[in-house]
Amino acid sequence: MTVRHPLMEWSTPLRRLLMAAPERMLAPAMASTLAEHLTVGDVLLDLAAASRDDLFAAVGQHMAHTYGVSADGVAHGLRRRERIGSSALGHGVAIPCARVQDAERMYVLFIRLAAPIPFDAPDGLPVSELLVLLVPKQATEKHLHLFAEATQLFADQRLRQRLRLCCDATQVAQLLREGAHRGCANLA
Amino acid sequence: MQTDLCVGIAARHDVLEIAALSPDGSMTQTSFPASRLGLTALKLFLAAYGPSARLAVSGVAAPSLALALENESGSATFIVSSSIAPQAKALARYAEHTA
Repeated sequence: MTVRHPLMEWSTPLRRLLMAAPERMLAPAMASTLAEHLTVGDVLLDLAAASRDDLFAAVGQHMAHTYGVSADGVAHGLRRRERIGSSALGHGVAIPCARVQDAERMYVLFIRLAAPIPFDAPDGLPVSELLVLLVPKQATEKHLHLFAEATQLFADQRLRQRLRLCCDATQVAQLLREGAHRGCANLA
Repeated sequence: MQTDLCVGIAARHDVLEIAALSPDGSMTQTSFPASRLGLTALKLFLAAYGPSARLAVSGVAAPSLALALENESGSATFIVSSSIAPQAKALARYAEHTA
């Protein structure tokens, strides 16, 4: 004879639900746009650039080499956006952004410069970490979410410090993805 | 002038609730910290749209927030009473109808 404890009866539906769809139960309330688009190959550490123009040219070169996107188009888009006003957030961080005509999807690059460069930041500090966002013309939703996520990330002083201590691109990408998922939970 | 984006901003004490309404009618919502960093990031986002965006702002310190955003982005900006449109989505719709 099998004796069934009432607690077992109650727990069975919940157990079934958890086993059937654990990812649904554990998934964050909102997927991270940043984590979705950031790849290890787009984390560039210790990039040498003496000025914003140098930096944007290097981003263009990377995009052309990696994705076949026009180097001039990317660099020109970033320079044009920067002429409207500095993309520096403060705390040594900037979020240069360009809407790229021939981009078929959104690209996110994290760059740590070999040496900080002047960026007309609101706090006057030179910039050494950048999150570069390249978005297609029609991408308002993801564009907005990326900015919100990036702001949440870089508002965290501990995360900024940890980013500066990372030795390789994999560590940086993992830290940013973890931070982005945590930030999304806060945004939701 | 063609409006590419209508944005509603409901300013609370610790957060700026944002809703963006695209020309295709899709609405998206998020939030930024109500700090200098959050305001700077919001200006960076709006700078990509410039004068083709329309903003409606309500809530805490709405006049100074609206002024800061309009000066920086060149977007047409409206200050709205919280009793008329308290939520970011309603503010984005308000900005759309002022066109």
